[in-house]
Amino acid sequence: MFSKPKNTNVIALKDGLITDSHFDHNIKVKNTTSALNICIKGDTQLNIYYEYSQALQSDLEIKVKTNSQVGVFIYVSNTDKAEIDINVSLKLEEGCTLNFVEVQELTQEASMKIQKRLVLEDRAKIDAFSLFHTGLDLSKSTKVTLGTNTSVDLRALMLGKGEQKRSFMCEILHHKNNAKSNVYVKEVLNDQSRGKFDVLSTIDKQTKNSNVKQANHALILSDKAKIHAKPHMQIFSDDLSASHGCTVGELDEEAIFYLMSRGISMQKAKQTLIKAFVEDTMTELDPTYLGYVKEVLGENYANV
Amino acid sequence: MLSIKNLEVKISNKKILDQLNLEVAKGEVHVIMGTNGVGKSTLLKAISGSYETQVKGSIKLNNEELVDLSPDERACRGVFMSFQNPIEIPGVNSVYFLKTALNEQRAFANKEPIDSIHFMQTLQEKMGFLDMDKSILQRFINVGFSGGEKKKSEILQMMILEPNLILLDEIDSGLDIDALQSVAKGINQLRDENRSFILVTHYNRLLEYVHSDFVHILDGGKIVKSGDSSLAKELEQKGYKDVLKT
Repeated sequence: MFSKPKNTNVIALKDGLITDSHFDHNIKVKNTTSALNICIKGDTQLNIYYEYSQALQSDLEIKVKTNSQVGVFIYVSNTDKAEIDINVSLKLEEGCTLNFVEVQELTQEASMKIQKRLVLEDRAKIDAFSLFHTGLDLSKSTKVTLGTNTSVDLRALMLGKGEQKRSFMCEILHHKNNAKSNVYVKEVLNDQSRGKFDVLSTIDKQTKNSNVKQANHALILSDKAKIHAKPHMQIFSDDLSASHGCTVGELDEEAIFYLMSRGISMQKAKQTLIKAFVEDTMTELDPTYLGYVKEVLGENYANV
Repeated sequence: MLSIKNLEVKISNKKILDQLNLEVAKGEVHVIMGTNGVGKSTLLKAISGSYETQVKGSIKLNNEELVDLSPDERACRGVFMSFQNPIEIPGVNSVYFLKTALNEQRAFANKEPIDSIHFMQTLQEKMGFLDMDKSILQRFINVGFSGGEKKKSEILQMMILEPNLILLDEIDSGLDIDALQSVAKGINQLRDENRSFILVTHYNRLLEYVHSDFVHILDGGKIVKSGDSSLAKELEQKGYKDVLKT
């Protein structure tokens, strides 16, 4: 269980209503039963904790003001069987930077859908990381619109076992010049779990100097686990640099033997290789958030 | 120390070794030579427990049967194999790997885990002894290592883990003279009356630096001829065909 840090800006909600909050003057908040509107400026960080005990739809709107440098960490948990539905709208005004990290600790039967709308005005930048590792059915779909000289880096780590389903869908629209997008997702799937990666980047005709990347890498640990990967692009411009691809593989038996031949047990050898596989999804994380993510993950990801 | 009896080894259902017998006493250095594809590496893989090998017969280390043990269980009992082509493992730091391996073996021997300061001191001392570039400590296992660095890294692992039965698979291949001498220095430093070696090699040159007690020629899945270190020199002069005729 994640131990919520103190001495930071916090908004905690239960079933859509704020139960605890303390934040500095850079953060303005409006809350109704189903919606939370936040406006952030300056250089600050905010942790938002959602807790659900019932099926509920929530709206979260975050506006980051011009030239601000902001970090937002979202943690979702539930106490009972829950179907969670969160609509997130992120609007980044000119020249701002947002580090956005979302994790969850859900019960085995819980399902969660996140629909995210992301709009970057000129010179805005977002680095986002999503962790999908608990709950039965997790699905995230994101629509991104990029302004001039913007940058979006979307990374996700999806871990599945048993009957779990993990789905990452994204549409990115490049319709201004000098925009950069990078989608980097890894899955580790065991048992009968299912993964889905469906990413479409569209580069409009009039755009210049776009940089577009998509990559999906899946590690399959069982004959029955499946990944459906669909990295695709619609390119109408000639002035761009683009790459997309996916890989699917198993743990390398030769590597397992190499580690075991030095005295490391098979289980630990596999855990070591799984950690090695997933860790580069987290290399760009701010150290504070990396600490949070690793605490939430615990050793779970190595025991997928 | 090591007693191999009636060993039959298959890889992908193809018989590679057949009714092979070998006895290695404590403190001895045995050299296995043979033409390409006769099963020299297969023998070492079978002793170390590679899942590639299907094994029948007996491999006993200090009177304990190894055949049914997993590779890590064998390693914890003192078996170490250096790989002919050490695999690159991206994402796994070399120091983390070596410290984990050492502590697993120490746990098996009911010893406390080694503390990081002591471990790093020992590691740096051994690296200095082998004339190794310390920057490899920051790298992932064998990733971006030159051929020589990979072989030295295997010897470094051997020196840190201090095994009882050391199997070196073409440790001398692809090494320049200086690297060969460093590798030989590492081997000689570890030699003592309780530790045994099996070296697989194609050339006599390593044996100019490492004194061997026995040289065996492997052919047709069996050891067909054994002798002292002069046999390796004879092989180098005459070749396998002529030596095996006599």
